[in-house]
Amino acid sequence: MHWNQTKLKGWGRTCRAVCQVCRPERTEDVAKYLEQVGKNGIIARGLGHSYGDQAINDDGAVMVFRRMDRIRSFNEETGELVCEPGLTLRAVTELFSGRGFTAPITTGSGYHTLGAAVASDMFGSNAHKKGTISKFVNWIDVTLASGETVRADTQNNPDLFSATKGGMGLTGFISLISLTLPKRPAPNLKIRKERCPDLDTLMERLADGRKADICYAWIDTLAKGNAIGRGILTTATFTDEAAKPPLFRMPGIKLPFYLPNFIVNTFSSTLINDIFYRFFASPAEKVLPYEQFIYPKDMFLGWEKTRGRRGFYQFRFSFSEAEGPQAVRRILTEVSRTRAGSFMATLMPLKEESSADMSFPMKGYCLSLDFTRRRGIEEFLIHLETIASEHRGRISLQNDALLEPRNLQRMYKRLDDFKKTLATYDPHKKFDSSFARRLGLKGEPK
Amino acid sequence: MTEKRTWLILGGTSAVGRSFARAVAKKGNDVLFLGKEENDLRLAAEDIRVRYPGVSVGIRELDTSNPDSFVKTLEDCETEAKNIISVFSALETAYSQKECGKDLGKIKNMFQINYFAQIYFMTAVAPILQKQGCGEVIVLGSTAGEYGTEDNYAYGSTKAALHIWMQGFHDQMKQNGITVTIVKIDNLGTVGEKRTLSFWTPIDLDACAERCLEYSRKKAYTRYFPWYSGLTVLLRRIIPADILGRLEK
Repeated sequence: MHWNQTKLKGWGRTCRAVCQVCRPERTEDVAKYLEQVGKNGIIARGLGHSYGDQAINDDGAVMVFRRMDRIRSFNEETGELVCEPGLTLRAVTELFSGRGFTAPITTGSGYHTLGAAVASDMFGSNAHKKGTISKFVNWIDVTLASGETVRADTQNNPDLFSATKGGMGLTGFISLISLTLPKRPAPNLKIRKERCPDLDTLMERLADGRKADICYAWIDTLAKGNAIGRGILTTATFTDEAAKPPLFRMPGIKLPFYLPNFIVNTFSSTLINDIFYRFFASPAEKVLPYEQFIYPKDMFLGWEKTRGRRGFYQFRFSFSEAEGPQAVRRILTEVSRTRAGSFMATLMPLKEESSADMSFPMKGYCLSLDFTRRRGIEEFLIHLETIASEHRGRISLQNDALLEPRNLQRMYKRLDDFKKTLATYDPHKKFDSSFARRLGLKGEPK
Repeated sequence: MTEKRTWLILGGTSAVGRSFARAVAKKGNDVLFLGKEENDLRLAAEDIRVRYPGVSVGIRELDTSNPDSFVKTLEDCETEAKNIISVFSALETAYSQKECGKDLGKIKNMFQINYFAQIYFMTAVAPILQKQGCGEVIVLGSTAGEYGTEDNYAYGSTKAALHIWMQGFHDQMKQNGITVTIVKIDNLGTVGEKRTLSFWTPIDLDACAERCLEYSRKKAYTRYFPWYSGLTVLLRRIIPADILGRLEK
């Protein structure tokens, strides 16, 4: 049993903490490590791609599950996959897309472990059709604070089941997952990109885009005046048509260093956004193999380094269909006014609320915005948080680094049920994180 | 290494052993896991079976504390293997210096597994490889075996002994057309504290597995992973111990 003291960071580099870290390689090691946990508890971590303080534990312990990635079984008929939590979404796609199945969610990057995906109730650009990953989970084995492993599903321990999905690892460790992979209707995707000159057009086209299997829009957050909300809508539909590989394919790039802070500024971001808007929306439809289209962020590994060493925040809001257009306009206007936006900004339609206690999606829209960290940005983001709250929106807990406890209560109606389940299954607060302490999920906020 | 192989994997239930097994299975080679924990071996084998259905995967019991049983186990493997036999060893156990200070038995245990079990196994497998006239042996070493540090010199000395033994084994096997490669890893993320001139982020095991295969294909005797950890070893040898000690404080 080895513990190493190390400094861990959130993906956005805005949250960091010195933690005692262990890396179990077998299921039976988990309970042994758990016995040794001291004050401030322990939290699970996958590949460290949560943006804020979700998978770090200041002055506490962290268990990295990346090395527990064995597949236990796969049913070729039903698509049921039983695996350990360290298996990545990318590995699922690579292994099973050739056998006619897809990963349940099409996230921007495939470098998320399934444990993390379940614990944060992840969803992707197919959320308007498929919902979140919770919908595909049949059961999970959860190692509780006592070291005992119990099965949770809709019949056994249903409260634990709905609290663990989206529960940010605070109920216990997910040690085994059973999920049903959806069948892939066809091997290729017909992709359409459409330039939308303003927000009204974009929202209108996005409503039509719900018919496609994958639908999301990139937004130029630095556009001004009537162009606020301009962007590129991308839709993709499964097709049997033969794929036409592009003449030139961008090779996978890995940025080896952080860009200097002075390069990351409003001028450079405006320029990049303008070039992208004008030149990256070819009107012609193209057919690509499924594997080549999904995980666009993985084409440029280390993209987070383009924000410089000071890091960035990601804010992800969800709004109902009724509030969505107005809320999105208000937020984009504020972002444009302060010139705080950056390249990464997307708008996606959402299908429904998930079965998780701390469900982030609702039937409506999801707006994701990145903000490079700079002076005064925290106050501005708290202002956006208030706007979201006024429009009865929610802020994604997976991406958050700044949410205030009072807003959490207003946004998540089942918060009390969630806290009750935490108290039942972990009365001594063995599972804890910087995130849980900030939001007071296991006691008073710190 | 174009011909199909049957890889005998020691320490295959560890994450690095599993990564290597996946890397060779992905290329269509067969895998035989050798080890003591039957349940762990079964799970590792099942993982490969699900991932790469066309690959033949087996498990064989190997008790590292009983070297006399190695020959019998290897005879079974030879009978079962349909292809040229190659060997990958990630066999190791690691304790921190603090743990060793409290219990000297841990040092003995580390030498038993990290050194004696491996050299006995290599000695037992050598006639099979020589008979084949080809094949590969890849052994995971450690940069801890290159210099002593306060926090893990007991572990490092087991690796240093292994490195020396493997050097001689390499020279001997080379005459029979067998490639012996030792890959010295900087940080497996299992034991030890952060050291000056070392890299804390644990290595990417999948990348390590790919590199091991590449080094073997190129018939390299010894390589560092990541490659730049070789530079830190060099710097540690060049910089006087006094200065290094001050840096570490």
